[in-house]
Amino acid sequence: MAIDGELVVRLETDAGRVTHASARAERPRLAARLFTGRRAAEAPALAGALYAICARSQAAAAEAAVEAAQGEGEDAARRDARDARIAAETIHEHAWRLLVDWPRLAGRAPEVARLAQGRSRLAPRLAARPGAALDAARDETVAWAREALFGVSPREFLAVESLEALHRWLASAETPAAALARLVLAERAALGAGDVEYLPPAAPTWIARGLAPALDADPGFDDRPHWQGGARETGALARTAGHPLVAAAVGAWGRGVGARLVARLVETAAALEAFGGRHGAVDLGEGSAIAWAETARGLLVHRVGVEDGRIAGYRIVAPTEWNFHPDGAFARGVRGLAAADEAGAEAAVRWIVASLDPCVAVRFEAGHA
Amino acid sequence: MCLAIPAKVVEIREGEQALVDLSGVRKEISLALVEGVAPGDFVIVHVGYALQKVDPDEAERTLALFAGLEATREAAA
Repeated sequence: MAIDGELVVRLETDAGRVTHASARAERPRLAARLFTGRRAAEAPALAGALYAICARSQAAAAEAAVEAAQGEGEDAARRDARDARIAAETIHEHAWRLLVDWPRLAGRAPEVARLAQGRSRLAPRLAARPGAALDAARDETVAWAREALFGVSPREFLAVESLEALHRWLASAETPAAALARLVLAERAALGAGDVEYLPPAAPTWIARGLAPALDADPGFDDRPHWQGGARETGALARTAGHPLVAAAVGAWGRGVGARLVARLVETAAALEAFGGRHGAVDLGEGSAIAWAETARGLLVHRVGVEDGRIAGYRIVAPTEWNFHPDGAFARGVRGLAAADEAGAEAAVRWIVASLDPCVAVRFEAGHA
Repeated sequence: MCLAIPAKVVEIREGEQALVDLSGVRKEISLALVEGVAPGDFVIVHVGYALQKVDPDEAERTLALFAGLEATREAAA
């Protein structure tokens, strides 16, 4: 097992039909080993330095967790700055998928320069400090999103509420993201659709009275998280399922690649419009707290215990473990998949993996039934 | 939770590419997403792209942290 972890996808096919597929996220539990015994105040900087692609969300969750564990009241300026950073990171990650990773998967040229432009527009918000202008460079960021993603303003895109309207958008928008969406929705919209239920929206009561006890009762929760006895899907699709367009996409194609693509577009547009409500923490008493952040890939949870100002216990539950649970959205979406041949089956599985956006490198192991 | 292991830039190459040293392994990455990178700088790499520059002191601290973890793992193995 590599220290930075990887997702091992094992695929068995027979004449193009997937007879068995499993994904195993292999990574050491670093947080407990690295954080325990350190001063509580060190946790946020450590979390931000350890994790590459979700650094702002990890740091925000750690800050909120240790503040709550030490009984510090919520500070609105700090909270808003963290939400702004998490929102900017979400836009950044979704844009990376839409402009670089998925075009490459589709055999098209990646739009690296467009992504780089978006990164520079988002830079002030990715680094937002309390009291700073949290909507810095808003007009420039929206202009970039219009050119690279939507062809219209994010607000106008959010008003696309039916499949008919989506098809009109697909036909008229001349952006790299629209070109990608045309291709994916024409060829793979229903791919990977499964019946895994969504994780409930992160709200303080559920996190404190539902998730925290479930986590505390199961030492294996970090690797195989579950809710009410089953695996759940977390991420853009689960969060935007109430949007009329996403609901229509799920109705037409199921909870698979097409719906997840539409959900990312909707969530990106929404995050450009408003950044609030993306994280929180609950003080569970006696130095114990739980914090969460709704990150690009889904729900991130930090569970901390502090004694005499030092970390006595630390657990992190990341979205990849929910979505790649042995009975989760990936596993059930792949089940029974049929393609013309082995290469076709692997390509289809790669799209399902990408639609769930794992936060570690993916390694394929092929096998034959 | 992809780890942010700092990579040292060894050489700048044509076409916004660079050769980096990542814990003793050398590989070519793209600099298309960061600006002003020079040999000797530390960067965080993700799927073949430099994501950001890291302050050298911070990079050394993070590398020491990861080295410590590797040592514990080997001792435990």
